[in-house]
Amino acid sequence: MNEDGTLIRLDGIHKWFGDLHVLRGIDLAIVPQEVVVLIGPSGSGKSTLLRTINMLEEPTEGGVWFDGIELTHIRTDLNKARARMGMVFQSFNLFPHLKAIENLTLALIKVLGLSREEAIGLAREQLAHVGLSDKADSYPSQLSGGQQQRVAIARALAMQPTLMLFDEATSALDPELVGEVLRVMQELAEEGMTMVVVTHEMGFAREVGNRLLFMDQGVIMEEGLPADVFANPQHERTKEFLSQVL
Amino acid sequence: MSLGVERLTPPDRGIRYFMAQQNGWSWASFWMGIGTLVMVMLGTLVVLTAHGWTQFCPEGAKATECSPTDPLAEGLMSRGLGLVIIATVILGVATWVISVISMRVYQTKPAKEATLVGIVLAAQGVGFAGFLMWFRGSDVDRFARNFLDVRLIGDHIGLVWSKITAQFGAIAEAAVPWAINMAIAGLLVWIVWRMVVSDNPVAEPIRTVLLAGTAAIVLGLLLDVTGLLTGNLAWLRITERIGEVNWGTLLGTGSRADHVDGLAQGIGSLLRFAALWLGYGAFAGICYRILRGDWRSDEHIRGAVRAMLILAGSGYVIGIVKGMVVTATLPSFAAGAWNTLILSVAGAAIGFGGGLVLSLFAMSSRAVVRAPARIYINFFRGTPLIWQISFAGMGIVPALHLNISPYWVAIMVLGLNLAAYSAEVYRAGIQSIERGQMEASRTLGLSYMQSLQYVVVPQAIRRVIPPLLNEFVILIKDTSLVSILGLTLSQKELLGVGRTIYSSTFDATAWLGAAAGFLIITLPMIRIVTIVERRMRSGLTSVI
Repeated sequence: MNEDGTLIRLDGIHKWFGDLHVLRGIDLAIVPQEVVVLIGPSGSGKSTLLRTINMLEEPTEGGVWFDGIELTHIRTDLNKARARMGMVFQSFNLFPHLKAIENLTLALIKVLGLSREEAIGLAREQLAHVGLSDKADSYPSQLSGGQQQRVAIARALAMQPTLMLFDEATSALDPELVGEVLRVMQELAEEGMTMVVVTHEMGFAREVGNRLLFMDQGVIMEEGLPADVFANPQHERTKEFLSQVL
Repeated sequence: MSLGVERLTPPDRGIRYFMAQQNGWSWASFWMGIGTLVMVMLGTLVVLTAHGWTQFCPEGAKATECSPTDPLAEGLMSRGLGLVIIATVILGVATWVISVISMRVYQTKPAKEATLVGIVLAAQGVGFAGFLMWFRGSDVDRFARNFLDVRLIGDHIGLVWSKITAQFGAIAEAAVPWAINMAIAGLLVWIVWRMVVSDNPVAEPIRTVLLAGTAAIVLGLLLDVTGLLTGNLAWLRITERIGEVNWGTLLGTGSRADHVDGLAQGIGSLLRFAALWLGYGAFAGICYRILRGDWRSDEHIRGAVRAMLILAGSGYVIGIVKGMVVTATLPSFAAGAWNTLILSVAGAAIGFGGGLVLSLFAMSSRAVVRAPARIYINFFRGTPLIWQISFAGMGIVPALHLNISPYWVAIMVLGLNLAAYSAEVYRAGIQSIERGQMEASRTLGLSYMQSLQYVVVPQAIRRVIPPLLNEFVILIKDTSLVSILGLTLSQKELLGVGRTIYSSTFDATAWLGAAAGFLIITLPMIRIVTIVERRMRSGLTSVI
């Protein structure tokens, strides 16, 4: 935890891709066990914002604090910090040359330094958690999209992270497979995991989120309780966006 | 009403279906086409064999009166072959006539296919017959003398073979150390392979093993030193090694060239010594770990044993082949093929290893790291290989007074050249792995190097195996450029051997022998490329 009781703190984040100003001064604080949902039109910078939290994108300006560590400091060991932040991608990004269980054990052995037996035990536990005990020895190409994404979630959870980041985790899935992944995410939230979720699933945002952020053109336009924002959007852009997606 | 979904097995489209769908005309066309091609091939073979391919000429006979290839020339000009040609043409034309009729009557697809096969095969047969006809009109006798003295290859092989069979016992015995050393090397290679390419717990025991190896080296040295006092075998061994070092030149007397030689020899013999003991030590360490039970997992032991057995076996075979080659002092094609293999395999080992490192440099985000790698790659890709070999062998080596045989210069240059080409292949392979793989790996806390090692490179290697094997086939052929360095007789590769035989006999059959040697080596490689490519396309991503 940071000194002010937050788990994540972003201070004045700016990000340029060349001449493109993608994030224009973002301040954000997230406390433990909070589920923050990021919505907004494509190109609004929500994925980039998520990726600055674990420094996959280095902010051009501004500071990122995670659990008392300043990630933007040049001497910070990012690998160590990232080991405690799980991330789930839109395109799953499972390692295709490794079996499902090996996808989980790789980082447990190489990063956390567990023995093979310990790692396998932990990995089996996590696969059971997402309901895929019987798929441990399957290769990713033998799994459905929903199963792959659940393995990816299990892979992140196996590292016992204090924070989970979801980058449009259901956008690449067939409609009938979205449910199984959302269910896992919802269970995770109920267990008290701190989560930052970029999503287009408005139902999930309303049901599971503690706080909703609406982003547009690189700034946070509006934030509040999901129910409030959905029912009574303050900003003109928010109204427009919600009228299109709801 | 039938919906067509009830049928569970696909319709039979096999050979029986093919046969059942033929009519008389299409069937006749099919078999007559086959007959045309078979007739011209088999007929030629029968006629030539009936005349005898080659003959022995009495000592001192003039070449104009008796040539070893006279029977062959006679056979080619004989009436028998003329009959075969005429019969082939007639059968071919008949096939076409039947086919034209068949084209008008066939109703099914297999019948159409059979007719087309008949037409094409008949065309091939008639084409070959036409070629023979044209050939009979040219100077057959001279051609046969120059290109078709097949005895030449046979004689060389026969002579070499008799030498080898006489000394086979000694050769088989000398090959035993090869088997042992290859087994130990195999074990080490297997461990490194598992460490580099897969996520495997062997990475942890390897530390113990290397430690044991180092300890064994120290122990070996100690043994040798104490041997000074006790006078045992180990002592003899180290004095042997000390004897290899030219101590006088090491201490600064003698010319600069001598000095370099002495130093290189000294370091070389010490390194050999260390490597040997490291190998034995690692072997002992692994045995110890297996006995102690750290490697309970059968999979590891099985893998290790398998690697050792395979390499021990191939080591023994290599040892025997090597012994045969040493025995065979003639510039035979067997010795040439062996040298071609050595040059290409050693070059490939340097090239594929160096290329991977080079490609990682070439992809660095830092220009200062990237630039030297790019310069290297562009230089070696931008200059002809023959220039590189010439410059190294005739420029650098004499200028620096290096005491390296042209053979090793050739291996180094081939390796350095291949490194440049394979670096580009690796780079393409690594860059073809989606960005998300690296990102996912980094978010799990793996470092950049770990991500490359466990996630990106293992996937990339699977993708680059076919293009790398292609580079290897090219390298095999490029070994022929080595002949410009003036190798000794026993060092010559296939093309060099062919040239040597040609210049002593003025018989171009030697060139055909060299070509056959290259094909014997390259064709299986090309086949392997195809198989690997097919395996990678079908099924899982896992090839290795």
